[in-house]
Amino acid sequence: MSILVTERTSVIIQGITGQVGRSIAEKMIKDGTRLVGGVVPGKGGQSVAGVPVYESVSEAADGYDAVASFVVAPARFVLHAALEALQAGVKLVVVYAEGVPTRDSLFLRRYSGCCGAHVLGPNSAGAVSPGKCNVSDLDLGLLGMHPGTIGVVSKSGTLTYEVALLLSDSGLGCSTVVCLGSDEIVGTSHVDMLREFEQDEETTAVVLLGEPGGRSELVAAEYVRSMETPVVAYISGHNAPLNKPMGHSGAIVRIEAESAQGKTDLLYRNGAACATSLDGIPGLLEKIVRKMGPVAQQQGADRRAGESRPTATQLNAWQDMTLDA
Amino acid sequence: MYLVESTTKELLRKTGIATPHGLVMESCPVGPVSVRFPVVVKAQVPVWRRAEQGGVVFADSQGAMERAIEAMLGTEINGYTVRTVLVEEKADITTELFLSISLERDAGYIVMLAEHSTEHVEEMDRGGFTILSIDPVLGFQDYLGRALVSGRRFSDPVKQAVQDTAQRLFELHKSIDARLLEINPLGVMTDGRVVALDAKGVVDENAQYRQPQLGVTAGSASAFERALTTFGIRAVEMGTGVAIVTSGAGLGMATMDSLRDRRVEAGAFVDLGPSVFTDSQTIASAIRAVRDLDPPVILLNFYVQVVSAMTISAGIRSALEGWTGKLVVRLKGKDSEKALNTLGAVANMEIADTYTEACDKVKKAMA
Repeated sequence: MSILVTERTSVIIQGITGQVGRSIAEKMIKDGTRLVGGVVPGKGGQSVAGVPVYESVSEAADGYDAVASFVVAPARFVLHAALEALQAGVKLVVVYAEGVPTRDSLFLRRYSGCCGAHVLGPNSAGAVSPGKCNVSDLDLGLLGMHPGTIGVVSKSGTLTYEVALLLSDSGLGCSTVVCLGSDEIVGTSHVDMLREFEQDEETTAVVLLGEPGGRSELVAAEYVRSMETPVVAYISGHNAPLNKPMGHSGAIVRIEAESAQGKTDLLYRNGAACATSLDGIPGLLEKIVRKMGPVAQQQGADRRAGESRPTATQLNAWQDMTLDA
Repeated sequence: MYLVESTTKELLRKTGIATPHGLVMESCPVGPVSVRFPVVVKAQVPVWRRAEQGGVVFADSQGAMERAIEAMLGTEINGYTVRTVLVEEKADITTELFLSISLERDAGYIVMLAEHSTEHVEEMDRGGFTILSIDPVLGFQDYLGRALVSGRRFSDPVKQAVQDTAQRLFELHKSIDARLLEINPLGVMTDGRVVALDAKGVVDENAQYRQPQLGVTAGSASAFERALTTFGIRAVEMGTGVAIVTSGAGLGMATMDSLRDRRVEAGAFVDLGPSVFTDSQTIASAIRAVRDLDPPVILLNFYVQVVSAMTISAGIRSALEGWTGKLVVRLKGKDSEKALNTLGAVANMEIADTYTEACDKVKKAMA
C-alpha cells in the first residue's frame, strides 16, 4: 500500500498551462498517474499533455473521488487557488510555490483542518507513491526510484531528492515519499504523516527528515516512542546559528530545543535511529533491512493477514539496534 | 523586515490607537518646536533595546533636546546609521502594560498582555502574562478581548481600553501582514485611556508585494547577506571557511553537516532556490558575490528536477571563468551531462558525481 496518494487518486493541476505546469503534467502521466485535468481560469477548453483544462476546480473534479490537486500558481495567488480546491472537496492539496505570505499559509492550515483535508506546502515538492501515483515534481526516472517499503517524510524538497537518490543507490524502494514543505508555516506536520505510515500495511521503515526551527519534529519524536515501524531520522542544519534563517524561512533556531541537535537528541531518546549527516541514512536503513529484514517482512505479512502486531521482543530488538546505531 | 518606531506609530494612529504627540526630525531644529517639555529623543533605527545603546535620551528643555539630537544623528547603532529621530512628549501615565500580537509558526496568532513593561520580554516569567491564541479564521472576537483582561485588577474603563486596543492591533496586524506588533510600554493615563509609548513592528517579507507603502528595513544582516537579498537570494555568512552554494536550503544545511563530519567548516552558505534557477545572470551575480568573499574553496552543489542544468552552468561559467581559486562542482539532474561539458573553461574545477564525493573532494581541497 501507500499513504496519501494511491493508484485510485485522481489528480488535477491548478496552473497547468504554464511551463512548470506542463512539465509536471508530462512527468505525472509518464509515471502512471491518473491525471484527469487542469484548471486555469480563462483557459478552459484547452488541452495540455492530452488532458482537458477547466475553468474551475469543481468542474475538473466533478465525478471523481479521492482528488488531489497540485497547485503551481505563483505565491500571491496560492491562497485563493488552494481555497477553491478545498471548497470543491479536494482532500490533498500540494502547494508548490515558495514565499507565500505567512498570513495566507496560516489561514490555509487552519481552514484545511476544518475541511479534514491535507495541505502539503507551501514550498512542497509533493507526494509520490512510485508505481502508483506521482503528485510531485520528483522525476522518478532521473532519481531511479521504484516501488518498495520505505516511507519518507521530509521538510525540504532538495533533501527529498537527495534521499531518494541515496535510497535508489542502495537498492531500496519507497512506499510513499511526502514533502511537507519548507516554508515556516505549512499545512501538515511530521506526526500527521508518521500516523499514516504507522497504519500503512507495507511500509516497513520510515525516514524522517527535518530541519532546525519549530516543533514539528519534536512532536513527531513523542509519537515515535509508540510506533511499531522503525524510524530513521536526520535533522539537517547542525551548524545553523541562532536567529538566522538558513535559506528556508522556517529553518530558524530560536531556542536550543528547536536546534538540529535538540531535535536529534529527542528523536534518539524516543527510539529513532539518528543520522548526523545525510550520507549516514543509507547505512542505518540497510542495518534495519539487513538485521531486521525477516522481522520487517514478517511484520508486513502479519499486517496484510490482519494478524497480530510485532511482539515486544521484536520491538526491543529494534530499540537495541537503534542504540547500536 | 523591521519597521522603525515612527512608522509603526503612524500605523497605530491610523488604526485609532493613541500615541504621544511627537515629531520626526532629520536635523537639529532651528528655534522652538511644537512640543511640550520634557521630551524623549529616540533614534529611528530598526534595532531592539536602543536605550542600552544610547538611542533613547530624555530632555527637559529646548537646549537639552537640541544637544541630544545633534549627538544622536549620524551615529551608528548595531550597524544602522541614525538618519532620523523621533521627539515625543513624555506622557503622564500611572501604569505601564505590555501588549503584543505575534504570528508564531506552531501556535498561529498569539496575543500577550502583562501588567508591566520590560525591554527584556523574552527573559520575563511567563506566569505574569495572559497569552491567548487567535483563530485565523474567526479573528479577534469580543469574547477573546474579555478573556484577555479577565482577572486583571484594571478599572472598567481601562479594561475596555485594553480590549479595544488589542482588537485594533489585530486588525492592523492582519492588514499590514505583520509578524509582530508590540506596544511596550502601553501607558495607562489617569483618565483610563491608554497610549502606545513605544512600538515595534516586524512585517512578513513574503507579503512585501502587497505592502508597498511600508518603509521596511532588513534586520541584522551582513553586507554580503544584504547584497544577495537584493537578488531575492537567501545567504548566511558565518566565517572564513568553505563557501557553499546549493540548489536548495535543505541540501545546503545537509552539505554543511556532512562537511562538519569531515572536520571542514562552512564560512558562507547561499541558497539559490528555484526562483532564480531560470536566470543565469542572477546565478552568476550570486556566485560572483561568493567569489568576492575569497573563500578557501567554493562548493557548488546542485540537483535540479524541473529546470535545466544548462542555465546553471551558464551562470557558473559567467562568474568563474578565469578565476583561479579552488572549486568543487556537483551538478546533477536534468541535462547535467550536457551542462558539465560546457564548463571546460573554468579553471581548478573538481567535478563530483555524488553528494558524498563532493564533500570528500572539498575536504581534500582544504587539506
